[in-house]
Amino acid sequence: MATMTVRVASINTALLDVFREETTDGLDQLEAKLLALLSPRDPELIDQLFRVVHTIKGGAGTFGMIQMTRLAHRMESVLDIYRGGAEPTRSAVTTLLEAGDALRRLLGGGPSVPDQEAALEARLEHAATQAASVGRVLPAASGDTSGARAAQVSSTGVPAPDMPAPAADGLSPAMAAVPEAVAPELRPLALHTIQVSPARELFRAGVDPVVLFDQLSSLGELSATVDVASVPQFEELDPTTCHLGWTLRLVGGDAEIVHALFDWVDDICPITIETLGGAPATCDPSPDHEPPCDPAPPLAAPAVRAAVAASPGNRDAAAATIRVRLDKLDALMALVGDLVVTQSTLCTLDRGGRGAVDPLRSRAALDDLQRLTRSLQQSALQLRSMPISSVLDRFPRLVHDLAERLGKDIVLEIGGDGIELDKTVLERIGDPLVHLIRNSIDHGIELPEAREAAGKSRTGRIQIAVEQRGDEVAIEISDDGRGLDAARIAARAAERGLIAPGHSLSEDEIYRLIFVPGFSTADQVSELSGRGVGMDVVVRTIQELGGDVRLRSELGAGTTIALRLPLTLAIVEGQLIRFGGRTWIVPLLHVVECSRLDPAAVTMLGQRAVYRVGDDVAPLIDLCERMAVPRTVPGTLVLVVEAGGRQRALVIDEVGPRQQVVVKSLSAQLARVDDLAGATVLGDGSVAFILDIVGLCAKGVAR
Amino acid sequence: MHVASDAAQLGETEDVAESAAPDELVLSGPITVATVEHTKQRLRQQLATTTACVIHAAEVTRLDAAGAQLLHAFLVEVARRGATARWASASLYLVEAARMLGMERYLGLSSLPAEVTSWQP
Amino acid sequence: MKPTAPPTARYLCVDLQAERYAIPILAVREIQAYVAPTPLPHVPPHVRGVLNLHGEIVPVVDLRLRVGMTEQPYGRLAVTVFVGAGSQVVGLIVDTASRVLDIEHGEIKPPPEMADGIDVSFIAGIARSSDRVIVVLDVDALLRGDPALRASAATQQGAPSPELRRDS
Repeated sequence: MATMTVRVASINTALLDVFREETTDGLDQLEAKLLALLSPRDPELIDQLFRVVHTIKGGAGTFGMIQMTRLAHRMESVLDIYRGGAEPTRSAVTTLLEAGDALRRLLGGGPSVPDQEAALEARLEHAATQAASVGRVLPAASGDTSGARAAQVSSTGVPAPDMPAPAADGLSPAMAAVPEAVAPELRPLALHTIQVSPARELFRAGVDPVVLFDQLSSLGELSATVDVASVPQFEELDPTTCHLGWTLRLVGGDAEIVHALFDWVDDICPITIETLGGAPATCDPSPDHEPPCDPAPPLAAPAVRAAVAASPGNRDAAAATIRVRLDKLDALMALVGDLVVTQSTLCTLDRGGRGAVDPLRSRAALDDLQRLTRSLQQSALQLRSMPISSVLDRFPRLVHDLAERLGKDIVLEIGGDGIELDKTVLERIGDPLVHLIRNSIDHGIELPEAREAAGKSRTGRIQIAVEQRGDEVAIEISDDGRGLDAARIAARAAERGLIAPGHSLSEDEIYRLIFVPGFSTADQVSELSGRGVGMDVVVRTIQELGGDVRLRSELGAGTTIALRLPLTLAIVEGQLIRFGGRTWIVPLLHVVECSRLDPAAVTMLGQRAVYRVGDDVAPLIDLCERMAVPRTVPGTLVLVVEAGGRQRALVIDEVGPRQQVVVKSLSAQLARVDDLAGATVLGDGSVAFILDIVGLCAKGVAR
Repeated sequence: MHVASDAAQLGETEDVAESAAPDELVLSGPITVATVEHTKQRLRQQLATTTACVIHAAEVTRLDAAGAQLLHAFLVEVARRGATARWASASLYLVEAARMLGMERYLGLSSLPAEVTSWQP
Repeated sequence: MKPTAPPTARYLCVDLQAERYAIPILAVREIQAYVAPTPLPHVPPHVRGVLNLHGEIVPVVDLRLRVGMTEQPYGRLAVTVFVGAGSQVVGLIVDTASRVLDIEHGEIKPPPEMADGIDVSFIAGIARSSDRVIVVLDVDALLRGDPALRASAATQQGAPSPELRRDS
């Protein structure tokens, strides 16, 4: 019988929304923690998992979502056993993940699919049994040991198979001897006697006992005895007033779920439950249910694992976040837009002003207004950016599922996911990133046997690294799989006439040939054919976002795909400096020290000038010369910077304050300009460039 | 005419006095807290005009506890007045709801012919 | 794939000394009195620098140099015409901006062959008005054919290009 939705006249829709939101959060947490469960045992993690599921169960029960409550209850049982010390298995985690998916579906209002859910419940039950049977301790029974663990079976119920007939006093001595961990078929049944004493308003409150009892009947065998003694005579009867009461008998099921079911109507339909027998808080062995079925057939492949190795400090801290509704944001943006217009109008008036206004005051006020609007604009834009982790969060699950399906053993590492990108950019890079990860899994990482034969570890590694460089963000996806054969690609390209004979391409260019639509699809060789498919779409998407895609590979060792995306908005802690009569910005994270230029510390190493920094020397760079700006005053300061382990000594004229600067992208409009990583607008409205320290430190210095 | 002193006697095959003209009561649609006021009016009319009520309830789409309570009160009143009532047909929605509430006997449904109470897939 | 041009379209006429150019008005985002842009290092001479246009950093190009004429100092009436194609926006520095003109599509003749191989892909055609020759610009091609601009990189769809040889 399909579960009927309970009509809830008295519950606020707003509360339901909150419940949905919080449960969605809970389900996200659930997934993340479940995936981490297979890593080295973290007892705190299991505790957290249990609590998350418990909260979801409680909420679902409150809102009468009976199917969710049942699933959550089963999950809780399994987790409870793990709390007691049992070791989670791969298949149990997979089952729990699927149960989480089912919860999500039900929460979203999806229809209950009884067969699927029953199968899930059976698997969860089996997982619990397995865990319990490994000899660990079951959660403590409610104080009873041999005595009350016997089942008392109602006259309408069916005794559990293999149970001896109950003795006259209701206790079965044989049952008392049953060991703690038993196969579910032998577990004693619980009998619940439920007194239902509704208030008069029951019907008017929108509660229908038919529906309630129907839900109860899905827990076990239910028989109802009604009490009509209080029903007045027909003429006097107000038909919307409830004068009925019931005594219910339920064989099987858990008292907790029964309570949960009635919890939300507790005020208008108080109940009392008396439970006899049954094993506490675990499986439901009602004969109505299917005997636990076999777990999902084990994969023929070796054990798979998808663990997320966190880069320090980035993943575990629960970031303080707020949700910002997009429409409110748009309204704010519109407001800012108006302010900007007002400001320019005022500027215009000021310029053409004749008389009455005090020019000094209006000038000052306008300056203030200008500053204000600029920071408002920046703040508003800032609200649109979100951490890239919102996109990367789905990957651990993706890798886990796909690796399992293909029989591969893969570890995923993610670093730098705290970096923020504009929401629109995030929305668009999700799919390309998924595609690239799938490529690595499908075609990059080899099967464990092949890896072993090649002298590699059986576990393949995929790394996602995210780094902000000025006005760009660099995302690299690398695997240590089979890599690409450049020579072969070049040969095939020559065959197809894609490259002129004798024309030599750089390695990067060779690899990019596989992006050309049609190049690899017709190819028989699998490592080429898979990689190329869909890559043209990925490349196009990234380019439309103003970025580019590069590929590096080494045959046998692995492949790295490097994406570069301009940050339409980024904030950087900047060190202001001056040279060539202009102001420039150096990202503070690269600044080592600043001091007076000491001529004695300058020496020549061959053709290059170097500057002594501590015990080392660093190449000396005259920024005026490098940036092709006229030197107006002798450079008197040296700014030592560092990136990628290398240092440079930069000759500058002045050092300014440190401040947060909003990075405006150059690469959104310009093809790549060497040595620059974005620009910013200073308080006076002028444009200052941000130096690409990473690039400066990476290049050799020519003289 | 006989007085049914026990609600359980309702629905049992009874003798219909030749002089009483059976009156057909057709119940259809939902009989729930939303519609019970209206249903009560109809039932009251029936009480006033008939002494041998024949209920056709094959078209009832839903019954809730309020509806069941009302029908029960109606049938008790019929008996109290010494009239009779019997079910000619009942939809499975009605029967199942009554069963779920434990009220089949109190609605005299337990004696309905088997085919009316069976499920149709 | 260009959409079919309407029968008559409006153009903004700009002058580079004695030569008159026409820019489709729909491509014109804004016109501002000339303000010296902030110079960029390592760019070709026709890229004069960048300007802050309503919060966006926009490159500014000397149109005279871009079309192959010799450099001349800017006069008092110089303006920067901001044009756009797609998401690419560029400021073009011109000597003057004069009127807006309607030119019939049929009036635009293909440009003559240039003997010395000068790139003229950005010329949509030649038109006449009041006995003057007007060079009609193809803004799309102008932007995409300029290697200093983002728009030129976006035309590469996966095929290797010389820009890739640069180290990051």
